[in-house]
Amino acid sequence: MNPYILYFILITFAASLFSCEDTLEERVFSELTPGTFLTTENGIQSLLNSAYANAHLHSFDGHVAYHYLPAMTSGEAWNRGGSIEVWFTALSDFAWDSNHRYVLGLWNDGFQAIRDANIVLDNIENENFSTEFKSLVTAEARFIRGWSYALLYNNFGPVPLYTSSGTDSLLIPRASEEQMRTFIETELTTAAANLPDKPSAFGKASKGSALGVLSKHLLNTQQWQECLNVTQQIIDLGVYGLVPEYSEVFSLENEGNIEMLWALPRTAPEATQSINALTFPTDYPLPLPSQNVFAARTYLFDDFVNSFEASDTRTELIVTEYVNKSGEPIQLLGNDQSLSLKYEFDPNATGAGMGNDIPVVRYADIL
Amino acid sequence: MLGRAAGVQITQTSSEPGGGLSIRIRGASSINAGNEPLYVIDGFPIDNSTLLSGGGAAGLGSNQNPRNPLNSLNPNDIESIEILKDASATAIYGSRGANGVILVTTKKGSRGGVAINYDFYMGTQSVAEKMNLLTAPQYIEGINAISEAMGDGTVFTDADINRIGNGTDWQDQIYQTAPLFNHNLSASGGDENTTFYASLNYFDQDGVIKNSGIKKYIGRLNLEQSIGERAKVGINLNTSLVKDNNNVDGLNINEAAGPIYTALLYDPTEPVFEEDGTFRQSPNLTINNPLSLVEGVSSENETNRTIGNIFAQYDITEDLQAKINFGSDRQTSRRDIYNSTLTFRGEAANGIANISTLERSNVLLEYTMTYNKSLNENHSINLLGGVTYQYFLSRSFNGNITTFPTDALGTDNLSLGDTGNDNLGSNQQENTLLSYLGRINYDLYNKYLFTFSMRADGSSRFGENNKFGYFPSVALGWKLGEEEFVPEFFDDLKLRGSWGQTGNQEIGNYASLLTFGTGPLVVFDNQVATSTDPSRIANPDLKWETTEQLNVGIDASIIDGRISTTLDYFVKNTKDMLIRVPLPRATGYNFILSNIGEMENRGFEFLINSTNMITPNFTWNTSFNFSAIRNKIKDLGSVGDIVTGNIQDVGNTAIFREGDPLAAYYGYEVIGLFQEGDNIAESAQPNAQPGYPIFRDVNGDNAITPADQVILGNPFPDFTYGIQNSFSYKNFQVDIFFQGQSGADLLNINMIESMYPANFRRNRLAEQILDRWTPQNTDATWPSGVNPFAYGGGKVNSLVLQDASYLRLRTLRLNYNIPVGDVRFLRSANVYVTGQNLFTWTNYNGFDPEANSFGRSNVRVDYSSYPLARTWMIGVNIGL
Repeated sequence: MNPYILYFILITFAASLFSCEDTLEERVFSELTPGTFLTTENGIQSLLNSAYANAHLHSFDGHVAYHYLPAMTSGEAWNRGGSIEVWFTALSDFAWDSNHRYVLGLWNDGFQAIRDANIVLDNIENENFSTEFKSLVTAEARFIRGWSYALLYNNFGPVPLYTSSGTDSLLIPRASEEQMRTFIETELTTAAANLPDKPSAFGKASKGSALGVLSKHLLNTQQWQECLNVTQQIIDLGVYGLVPEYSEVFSLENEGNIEMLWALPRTAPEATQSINALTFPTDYPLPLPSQNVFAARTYLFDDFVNSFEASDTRTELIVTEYVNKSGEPIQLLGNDQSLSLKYEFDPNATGAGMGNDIPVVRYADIL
Repeated sequence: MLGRAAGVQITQTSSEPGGGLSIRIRGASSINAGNEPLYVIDGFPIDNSTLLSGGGAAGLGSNQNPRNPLNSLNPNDIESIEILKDASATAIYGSRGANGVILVTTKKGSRGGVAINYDFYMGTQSVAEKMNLLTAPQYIEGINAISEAMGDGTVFTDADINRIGNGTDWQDQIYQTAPLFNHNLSASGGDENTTFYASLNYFDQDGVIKNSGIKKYIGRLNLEQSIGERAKVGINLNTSLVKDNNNVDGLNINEAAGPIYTALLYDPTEPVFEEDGTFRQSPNLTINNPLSLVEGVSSENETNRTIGNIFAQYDITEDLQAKINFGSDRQTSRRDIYNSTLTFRGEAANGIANISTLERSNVLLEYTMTYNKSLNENHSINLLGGVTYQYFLSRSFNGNITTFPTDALGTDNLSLGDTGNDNLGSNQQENTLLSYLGRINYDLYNKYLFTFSMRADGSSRFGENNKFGYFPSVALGWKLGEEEFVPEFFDDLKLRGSWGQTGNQEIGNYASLLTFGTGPLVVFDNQVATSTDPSRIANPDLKWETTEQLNVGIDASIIDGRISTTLDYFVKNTKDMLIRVPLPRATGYNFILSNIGEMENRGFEFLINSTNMITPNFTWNTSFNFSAIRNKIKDLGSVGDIVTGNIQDVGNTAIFREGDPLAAYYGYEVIGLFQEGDNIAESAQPNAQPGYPIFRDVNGDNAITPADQVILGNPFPDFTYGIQNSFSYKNFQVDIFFQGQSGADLLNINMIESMYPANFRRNRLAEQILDRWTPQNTDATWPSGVNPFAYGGGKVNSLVLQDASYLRLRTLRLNYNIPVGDVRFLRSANVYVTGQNLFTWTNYNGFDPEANSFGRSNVRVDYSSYPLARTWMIGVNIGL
């Protein structure tokens, strides 16, 4: 064969191998692209679920922050032990900075809920979606923004207001006090108007959730008359009542009870909270071998425990003495070491995580 | 290879059997994209990605030290290793050559006869250096004294002390003297048209931590066949099965930690077992009994990997040659983890089983043409043109389930678990590289050498309009030895210079796309539901990171080649760096991957080989290499400082800052300890107690805040060196190899754990308690240990940062060649004894100053790393 013919053949062969134009196109297999995903109701719903999970402070750091930021800074509780001691002690000593793990945890969950809600709202105008779907999802997403900003505002004061999912201007300054309050109030009022009286599932937003969060916000911002008006609206809804026994408000059996306007729902073993694990000492006899605690202990000060009247049934949920695993009696009250047993030990727990819901707004707060 | 090549820093980041290596050729040239070199085995660039390492639902430490990708290669098969460092040399492997290229050539057969070789060695390994922890009596004394100082009274009574005696040395409980074996059989040969090389290898090594080890079975066939005068085809095929048993620590802490972490922290006054023979779990601790982790958790990987390439070349004319190379690299890996009821976590869940599988494959298609022509005796030219395509695919699956009626079956029957408590996951990803390259070599008067090359590299990972990057290089060589004005004294003298650019695309997939992935679980009506959330903030403008390198060098040899030396100076500049630029968390995202900034590595390398003495019976050779590399971040654009290297409950450990070396350690400087009588109330730490560390108030605002953090050191050595001496006397040979580094720092997180014990009853490093501040011991190094969380400042501080300079006797080998003159069937025979890691001179307080618990990362920390082993081996090698 003439070598130059062969040369030609080889070149052609090589060129044909590599000439496909889309060779370098990036094909995505295990993730979803906005074009196909956010144009379906199921896609929007799935994204809204993430907004809810963040609004429920699903992360370890988020829910620990929600519970302990107030407890440790208010002189109600103190702590010893565990890797967490470095963080909790900083709270008690008022020595935290912007890198504090739990301060960040609250900030992150809150703003991730806002991020997800913004994407939902920016994609809700789609002709494939039913009017009812659009109305409900919009109300839920605006509730999530309202609740998240109210939580952030309560902890940090005015924060940057992200109200769209656009990524052109990612660096925005803090909003003013006025902008912040107006935004929170508008979001929650608008959401309340379009949310159902009863949520389609416990954990989702209802009219009562939006009004409940709004009433606390109004109370915190000293808008007394507005607060009264909103709480009256809640009472007028006629869907809430009081649980007869105080202890049963928090019981696992009674989750989603008539007293709950808005809570951070949990269930074991997959989506749990760790408050008991951060409270009880390692030698405390736990009901089941499937339950664990951490090395950290968080104790109630005697002052706090003694501030309750003797007849106050809420003290029934405070452990003031116990017999440890080795059979020795341990006196807690009198040593600033009382333990909160507000949340019963969950029999479904595997390890340190338990499935007790964390109430945020109860009807008892409204009445 | 370790320590033998100048400018190449090879660190054994984990000493576990088959554990990870980190290689930096001429420094770290990237911040967030990959820094590892490209491995090219017999012309086939292999995939060096990490394999399965996570602990899954079984809660094992996620070990960031990937397995050594060369585990599937038999070291006995290697004929030569060449390291390409400068931009011109790596240009031919451009699209992945920015971090240098390691060219491995395996053995080929030679014409005429068949040679068979058998090699066997066996050895024993032990922990080179234990950590110096408090013994039980020291612990009792320390705990009692600190407890009293905290006002909590005595912990151990005299009766306790008598009962406890010497307590338990938990390190001894998990360490073992471990054997290793290796068999290797090879055959090679050929005739006029065919050559072959075939080998079989079996390697079996236990680790110095109980329940860890590796087994390897490797086979290779290299075959070449000439067809007529002009054509040649060949195949290189390597297939391997690697079984890893790697239940070792990752970065997990506390309840989730592994045996090394817990052995360093477990209360030495506790016995190993209860009287009924079950594991003792201390009521004062929430970490597991270390031995219960060793025996209670199994973690096994099996990886099958077949790498092969087929090539055909054809001489179209005398000057023109075409070559096509087709390669395939397929690996399937399966990881089985079972966490039994012997551990806290396993007990709570009644056993946790986790199975993960990973298939990773790639194919290479490469077509090149070369044209060689000597125009006349003064001019010759070589042209190369080619195109390469490589496609990578990875698919994974994992499943886990809990609540087993028994631990007996481990992961062998998942359907025994509670199907209400299971989880499944899967993933598939692909990426593609497509490159065009051209190169011209021109040789003038056999004195002046010119090379010019140009590449167009395409990668699927970049933005729509930036898939291709263009990377040129030039090189000049001047054979001074050929010039008449150079004295005869030089046998050889050559000046070299080169400049070139190479690209880096070692980032994850999809960084330029907005996609949605698995989000957090949400609870509605007491049931969990899944969700989807945005995976990242997309950067559609993402493009190649470019490294530009200037290199000048000189090669010389004198005295009939008895002394030869190579000297190089280089400046490496990386720009458009692929950096995870932090975003305000209020955006809902942590970072955006962007092309920003500039970083420089400049350095000097020196290698000298010398035959010091040569007589008929005795020779003495020395090889010495030295390199000094300076790394500096020159520009981070508008980003400012980036803190990084987060460790759970320690926080960030390092910083990227303009003007400083990459990943410098960042924290608080301790300038002394508070003494009784100091005016503490007026100091920057008004709540401090005597015996607390004094942190330097850098900005002088009379308070210790994050603004007082400074750069405490950096992980880069000032210089590294290696020196090998080989002596041979008649049939005996002795090789002694030392290797070391000077001026590097290493952050030892176990020091932090000890200084800030997460639980009062954990054990501590001996020096921190024995030399702690007390009213009697006021010039102590370490603070009082009384309520350490009230010290203030930060956990990353100058007390815990360590100097990681060392000099190590890496290898000592004694060999005897048995005279086989009379034995007809024997070609050769020798016996040998080898010792490894025999001695390390260092002030570093830890298992190994080379360790990095972040694996291949530029950020270096030592956290419960696997102890370095000292190894002795004896072996025999027979040639037939």
